[in-house]
Amino acid sequence: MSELSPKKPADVELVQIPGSSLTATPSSIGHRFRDWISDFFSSIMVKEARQALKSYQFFVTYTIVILTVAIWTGLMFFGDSNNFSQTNWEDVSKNLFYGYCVILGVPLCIIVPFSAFRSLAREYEDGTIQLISITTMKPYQIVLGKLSTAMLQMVIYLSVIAPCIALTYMLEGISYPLIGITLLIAVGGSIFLTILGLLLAGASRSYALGMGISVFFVLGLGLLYLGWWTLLNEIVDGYGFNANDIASDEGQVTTYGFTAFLGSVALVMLTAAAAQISFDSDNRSTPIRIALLIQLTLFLAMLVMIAALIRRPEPLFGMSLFAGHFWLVVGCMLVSEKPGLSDRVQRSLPKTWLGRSFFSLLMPGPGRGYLFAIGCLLASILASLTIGICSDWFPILPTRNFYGGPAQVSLSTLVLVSAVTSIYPLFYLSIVYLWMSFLRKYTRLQSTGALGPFIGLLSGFLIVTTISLVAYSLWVNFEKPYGNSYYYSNNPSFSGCFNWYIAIGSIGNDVFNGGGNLLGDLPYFLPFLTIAIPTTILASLLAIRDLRYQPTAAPVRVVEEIERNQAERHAKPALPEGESIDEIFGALPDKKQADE
Amino acid sequence: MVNITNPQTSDSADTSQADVTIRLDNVSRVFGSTRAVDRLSFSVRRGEVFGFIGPNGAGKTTSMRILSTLDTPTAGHAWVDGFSVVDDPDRVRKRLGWMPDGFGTYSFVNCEEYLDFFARSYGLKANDRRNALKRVMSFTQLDGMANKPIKGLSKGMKQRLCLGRTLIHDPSVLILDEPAAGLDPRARIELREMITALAADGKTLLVSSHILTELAEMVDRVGIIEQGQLLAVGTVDEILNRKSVDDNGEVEQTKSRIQLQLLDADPRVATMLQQNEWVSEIRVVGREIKFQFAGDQEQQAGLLKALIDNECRIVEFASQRKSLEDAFLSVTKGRVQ
Repeated sequence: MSELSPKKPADVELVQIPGSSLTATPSSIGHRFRDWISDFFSSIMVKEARQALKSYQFFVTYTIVILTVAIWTGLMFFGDSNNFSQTNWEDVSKNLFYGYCVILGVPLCIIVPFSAFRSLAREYEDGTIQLISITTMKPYQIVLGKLSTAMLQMVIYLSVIAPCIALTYMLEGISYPLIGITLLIAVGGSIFLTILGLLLAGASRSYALGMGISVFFVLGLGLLYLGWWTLLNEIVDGYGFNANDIASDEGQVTTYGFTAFLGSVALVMLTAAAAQISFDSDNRSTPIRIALLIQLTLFLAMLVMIAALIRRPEPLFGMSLFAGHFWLVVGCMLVSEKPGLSDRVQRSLPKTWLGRSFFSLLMPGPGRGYLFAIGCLLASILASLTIGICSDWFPILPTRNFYGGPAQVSLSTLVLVSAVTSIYPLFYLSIVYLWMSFLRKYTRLQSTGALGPFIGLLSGFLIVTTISLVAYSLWVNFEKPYGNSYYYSNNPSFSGCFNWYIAIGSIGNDVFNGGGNLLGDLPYFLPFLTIAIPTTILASLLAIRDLRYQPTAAPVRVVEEIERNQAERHAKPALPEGESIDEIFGALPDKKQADE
Repeated sequence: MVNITNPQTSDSADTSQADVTIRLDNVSRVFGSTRAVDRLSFSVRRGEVFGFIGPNGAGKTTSMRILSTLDTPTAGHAWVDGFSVVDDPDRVRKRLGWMPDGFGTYSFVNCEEYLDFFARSYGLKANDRRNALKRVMSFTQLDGMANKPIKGLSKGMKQRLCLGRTLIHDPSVLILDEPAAGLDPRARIELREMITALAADGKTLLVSSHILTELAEMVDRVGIIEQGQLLAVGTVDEILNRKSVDDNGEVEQTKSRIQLQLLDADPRVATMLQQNEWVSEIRVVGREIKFQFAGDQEQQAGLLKALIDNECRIVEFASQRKSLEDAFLSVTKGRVQ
């Protein structure tokens, strides 16, 4: 920084502010060490930790947690003091653990996520987000800063509970795997909810909207907290949730699958929260799509795990169905992106044929988003189909049917299930893509900014619901599936063929009830296929146009700066940024100088 | 390989204008049906203090937000130090300090912590950060206030702190939106001195203000904006001497206001003034006469000589030049969006 000195006006004497010498210069090793160590943390975390240490809210919450824990411990130990010698310490241990977790749930399930939400929402309301966003901090650093602050709070609250939890283990009422799993669920859930809060905070662009979202968010957190109580009951009582259940094959798949899904959703939400802060010309889509690709990879890993551990074909069908729904929802949001590419994004586009082949779908734009979504959907379904087909060849793959007997799934069943789980979402997504293209052309949809994906999601919901309801009405009127009883028929029909769930029902009925005549059902789907296939082809052809683009070169000024920076980097010895340890501790002012 | 085209931006920000630090080229910003900024074009040279004035709702803040990489133009381009504010916001942000109209604050934070947070956010580490804090607090004379909570600061102190935050990463370009708003006269003078010092340090400043007298003393050039359009741009003198066009499309001569004080009331003076072709709008109040004079200084001297030659007993002959406020009022119509 160049030396600055305000010029004293000739006719006005500036007010000299009395006070001590500048405190920005640390005068002790401790201060210097704190200063140095804090450089490793996010600036937001450092600032918010300082704020929290001075705030009443943190002090009050922390004190209440400590007091409640102490009261609960006292009640459990001395509540029945007359029979102290006959106390069942195992029960006491369980009750203590239950109580501690209930207490811990308040900060972890409600206070920490809501504080993170309010913290970011307040930045929007007060306009300070603008001051931060024009610093050199990247949007993801801002979001991670908020998340790390929340995690620091979690650590502090856990530190209160940790000795008490250790006590419950020593009383031998609760096993350490369950303690570990419970705490992992609490912390993992809290991180997930915090990320959700940060995502929602991005939508709080005005005070009124922020308050509305606050109310719904806190209500949702309250409900989840009640769910936490229920889960704790299961854990402590051991009904339907114990270490053995988790260790079983099904338990492992469910646990890993659930964790992988929530973890990957959290990653997508985190990238989306960062995208909300990012500048208009930034590439917001690629990080989100990379997170979605990670999600796809985890999904494929889960398929393999199901095949290896559960070895039944039905979960594969369930996974295919899940993939269909998931990519339909994600696709509706992706096809609502802004169509144009900023010069900044165009500069970063792949310039080689190979690069374009692999990375174009990660770039922003509705057409690329459509192709990306259908690509991921087809990859999921095809992977499921491949594992199903391979089950005949490899013994570790699915070999048992739903009832534990030998697999009776034919190739035609596998293909038909895969077709039904992929063609319907493809068709619906194609309609949504065409509809959004129409809206973009004839309305001011492009100016909706961050609301675009939500408009796409809403459009998708309305389109799918309308088509399904119309088909359902026709099906009920023409087929009279309920007949004279409450049991309805699952026979396929022309009238209901546009409804995905009727199609799934009829196929599922054949699969789970001895195979049926699946190929014989095909003609009933012809009306649907006659419309779905051309629609999908039309949407795909329109979307493929988005793959054509013109990469641009960086402006001369940018190239000059990059070259200059590179030259400077090569000229300088590789020293760590900031200063060395010697500089931190070696140059303390002597006492006389400090006194002066 | 695909063909790579040079974007229009790279041609527009050509290096022949290396001395130009801020540049707007036909920038427009539309919010729904409101055109907040309408084809705005001007440039600011390195080390220059550029005053940006206009009525409320004229589009000053929107233009400044675009330059500060907080908003994007609907049309047109803008550059700071040769970098596009739309396509290279990261590079612009390293060079730019933005001081908004409002003061973004945090609870439970003191002055030093506030500046420290922004220093960290700009990536300043350890010694660099401490030095930056020291210099900025010294420059803004907040070094005695380091541990004082922001909430307890006066408006003037908050503005200093805000300026300090703007300077923490040593930007070469400063955009100050109404920095003097709400300040008392002393604080305004101090702020003016700081701005003058920053300009002397080679920084480029774009300053908007409603206090035109303050602005006139510190700026090198002025741009007057109304309804999103730039009405006039130039030095204060150029703006003052600008011939305005009246509602009938005729060019109005630049006039100065003259005040004449006589020793005793003399009706001959008013008669003589009425006969002078450059004089108009004569107002006589006792021994005092005020009138508009459209001639130059030589003609003004001739008028004074004629009065003295006719033995008019003149005590005072004062020519009052038009102020920036007069120019502002004559250029703008007070229209808002």
